[in-house]
Amino acid sequence: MARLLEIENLIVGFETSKSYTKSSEAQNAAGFMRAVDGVSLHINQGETVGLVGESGCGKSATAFSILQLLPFPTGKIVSGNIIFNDAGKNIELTKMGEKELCEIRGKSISMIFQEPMSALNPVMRIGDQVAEGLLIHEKISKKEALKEAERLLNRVGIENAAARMKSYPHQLSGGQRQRAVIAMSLICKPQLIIADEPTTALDVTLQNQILELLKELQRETGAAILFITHDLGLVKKFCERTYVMYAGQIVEHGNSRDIFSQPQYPYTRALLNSRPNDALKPKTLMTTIEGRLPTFWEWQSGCRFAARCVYAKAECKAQQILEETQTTTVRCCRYKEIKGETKP
Amino acid sequence: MNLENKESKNKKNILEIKNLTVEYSPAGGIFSKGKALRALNDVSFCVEAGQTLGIVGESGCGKSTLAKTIIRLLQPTSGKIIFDGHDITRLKGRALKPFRRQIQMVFQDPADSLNPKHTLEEILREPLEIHRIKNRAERIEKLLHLVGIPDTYLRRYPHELSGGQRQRIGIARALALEPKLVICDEPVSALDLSIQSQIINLLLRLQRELGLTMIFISHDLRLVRHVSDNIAVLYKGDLVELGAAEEVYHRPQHAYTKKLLANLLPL
Repeated sequence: MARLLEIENLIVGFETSKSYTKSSEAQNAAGFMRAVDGVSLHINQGETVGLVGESGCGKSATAFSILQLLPFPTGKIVSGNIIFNDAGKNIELTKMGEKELCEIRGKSISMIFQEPMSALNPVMRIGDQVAEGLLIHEKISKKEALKEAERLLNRVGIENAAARMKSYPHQLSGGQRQRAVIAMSLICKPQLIIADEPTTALDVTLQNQILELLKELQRETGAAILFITHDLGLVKKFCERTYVMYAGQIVEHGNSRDIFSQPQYPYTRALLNSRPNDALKPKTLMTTIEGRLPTFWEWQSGCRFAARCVYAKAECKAQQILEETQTTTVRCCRYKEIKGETKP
Repeated sequence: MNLENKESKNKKNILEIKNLTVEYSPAGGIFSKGKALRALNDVSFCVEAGQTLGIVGESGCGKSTLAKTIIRLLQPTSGKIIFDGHDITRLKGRALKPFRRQIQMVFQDPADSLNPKHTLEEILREPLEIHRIKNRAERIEKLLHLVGIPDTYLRRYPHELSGGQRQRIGIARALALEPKLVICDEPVSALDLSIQSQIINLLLRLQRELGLTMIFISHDLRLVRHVSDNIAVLYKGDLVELGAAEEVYHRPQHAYTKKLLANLLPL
């Protein structure tokens, strides 16, 4: 399979004080915190890849870096490469200017945001918003663009699409709004869709419908999806490969099926065990992960999960070991030893 | 619809809800004629002392309306709320105050439900002051211990805590007045995955230690099954299913409950 996107050693940080007016030396001072610390990942054509982690682990910062949508002026890509294969031509997204990026945003790479109400313009009709991408990127008449928008709204399951074209976002239900956002992201037939928690704001029954729809449309258009979520169940169901993030790093990567049936990294194991499941006797205590995600200032030179890890030994705090093969990654020095062990 | 848990008839019910209907007045102000929105429609159930009733349903089904009506933040259109043998449906002011103390609530997002300008000590002291309870310092210390927050945190503000710690304070505040019934409205859905089980364990432990009765509202059927003795399923304001947790989870009767279960994600 051909590579569509390759992120290499990405480091992203945020200014935490008003020092962003100062020179670049100031950025290395205490006022600069890292959110993403050396992330490498790749997406092949037509693939669905999951990026999971808790809030604050850097998953959204990674996603926003791809199209350089980090909050200005505090967010910044410090180093690393993001290479996108745009119809056979490799382009380096981190080196691109605003103007060139605008030609990619929404056209070759589009985004679906978490909260459809804030992703839509409240004072613009749905039809115009969905058609806007076409009018910007293609040489097309307004009439044709609107016709295409209507066809897509129909396709994403909005009933009575012709009438809905004239509605404003607040006149739609939450599910319809997210459908409209999906239509918007698909209108230019992008090669990559970045979906940042696309169903978190929706009800469980709707959640499944929306994701099934997204998969169906993916099969039709052949787009790849980078699916960002904190919900492990969704990743298992919808993604072929999964990256697990913790404290700014990728800690585990592999085939979704393997990660969920035999997680290697202790954090992944603990997360999977700490969910309520049917085998658990009701009202008994659940397995927990003590402590919380360390902030940037608490990152240590060794394994960043060591302080919360039931398998941790002295060696874990001293060094970090990254085991990488073509298809899997584990950032744990003891993962082979602990394979058979089952600790709570 | 009238579904009642039959087995609980001879045990002590701490809360009885009888034919509760809540309507919101139509939008557009008092001069426009519109149809009232019925958020709860003839809902009846009982909660036995020391047990947990889980309430599930999707957004807009009336879960939070129900919680707000029980703690008397909303006035029901018709029906009765009987708490510990007393009809509290129409009580007001001074007559209601002693009952307010006995029914407390834990809210979904602790970042929104704690006053950002108050220190933890002030947050926990306020309910004690309102109800004129003595030995405040001592009780506050005990509360912190109960929810696992070090007492060196007393002078801190909510923003200085992590999400999990904030929810622990939300729970401590709910427990400050030693209530009999605690209503938890989506207590973990705003928290991170690795923190959720910590808070659930805390609630389970507190229930056991203090003999609390709980109403646990959530959209997560799996979680509700784990913490509840009985489960009530709400759909568009109607109570469509009520029964023992294991029964509802493994042998659902109503089509809507079946649909909810079918939409559960694989583990």
